[in-house]
Amino acid sequence: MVVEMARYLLAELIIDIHNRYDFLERQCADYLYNGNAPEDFTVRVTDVEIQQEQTITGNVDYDCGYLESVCTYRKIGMKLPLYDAMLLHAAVISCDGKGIAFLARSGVGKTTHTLLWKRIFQEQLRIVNGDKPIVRFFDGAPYAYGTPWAGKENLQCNERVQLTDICFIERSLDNSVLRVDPMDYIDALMQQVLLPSEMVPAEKTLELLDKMVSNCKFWVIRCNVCDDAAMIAYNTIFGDG
Amino acid sequence: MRLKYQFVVRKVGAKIIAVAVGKDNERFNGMVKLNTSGEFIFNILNKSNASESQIAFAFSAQYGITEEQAKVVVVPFLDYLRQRELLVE
Repeated sequence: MVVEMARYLLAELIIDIHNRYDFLERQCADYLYNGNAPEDFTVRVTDVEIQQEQTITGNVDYDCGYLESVCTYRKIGMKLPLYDAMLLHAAVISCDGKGIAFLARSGVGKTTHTLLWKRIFQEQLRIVNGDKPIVRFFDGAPYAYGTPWAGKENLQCNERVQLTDICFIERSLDNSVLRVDPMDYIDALMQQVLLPSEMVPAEKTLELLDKMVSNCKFWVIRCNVCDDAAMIAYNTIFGDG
Repeated sequence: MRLKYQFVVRKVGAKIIAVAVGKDNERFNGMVKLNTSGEFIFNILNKSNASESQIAFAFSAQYGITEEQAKVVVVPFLDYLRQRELLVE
């Protein structure tokens, strides 16, 4: 099997990705880097790692190209803390000068809520990444970046936005939004961050989380799937000053 | 006694958080929240083996109290770690 290599620009990092399957090339096409600067780091995935991923997911029907892509992004995520960045499981939107992240356990409805906002605010709003943005810190401030890994809906754009608000989505019959102390939601936040297994990047990730907690406002959005859910959330978050 | 897993410990906001690293990251997929006295004891056990009396001695020296007073804090904290199956004795 032929191993291809291409250079990509993700979160302002130049990353060489070696791939065996076409899936990755197609997925990352919008992020190709054509400049002359050297790579920050290189990622390659072995057949053994693809097989292990197949075992973990328990689904032998997954395409090898897809599994290679999953493994590649995880490997990128493990290196990110060394560049003041991390992988966050969240949908991030850019709207009226704010970067707003919606966090929830899989299946709760962060994509549904994100699309409600998009339906109401249309061109006012950009979906930076619908599932797994990279968050990179400059002078302590977090910026969320679009990446090609954006969930099955592939909601993403190759842009960045300063992350100002972190919202935990919870299902409810009624709509309400509460400003919360991030310390009361630290468990929920940690569950949505890729924590590397090696000591130095793990320690760095905790340092970055500390910066995120200091620099962002935290909210709980209890919501249903009506348009009101997005309107009430917008009015509360933007009304907070 | 010592900790069963290797941890990194760091302040995040107002909390002190410990997460397992290395292969232990897969075996203990969670975190431990600590106060400052818990962090002191946790760090001793994260670096080396220590007995209850050694920890109490170190704690008393750190906080300028007697070993008996230190045990009032140390013993319940060690029990908490035992309950969470985080200690190897």
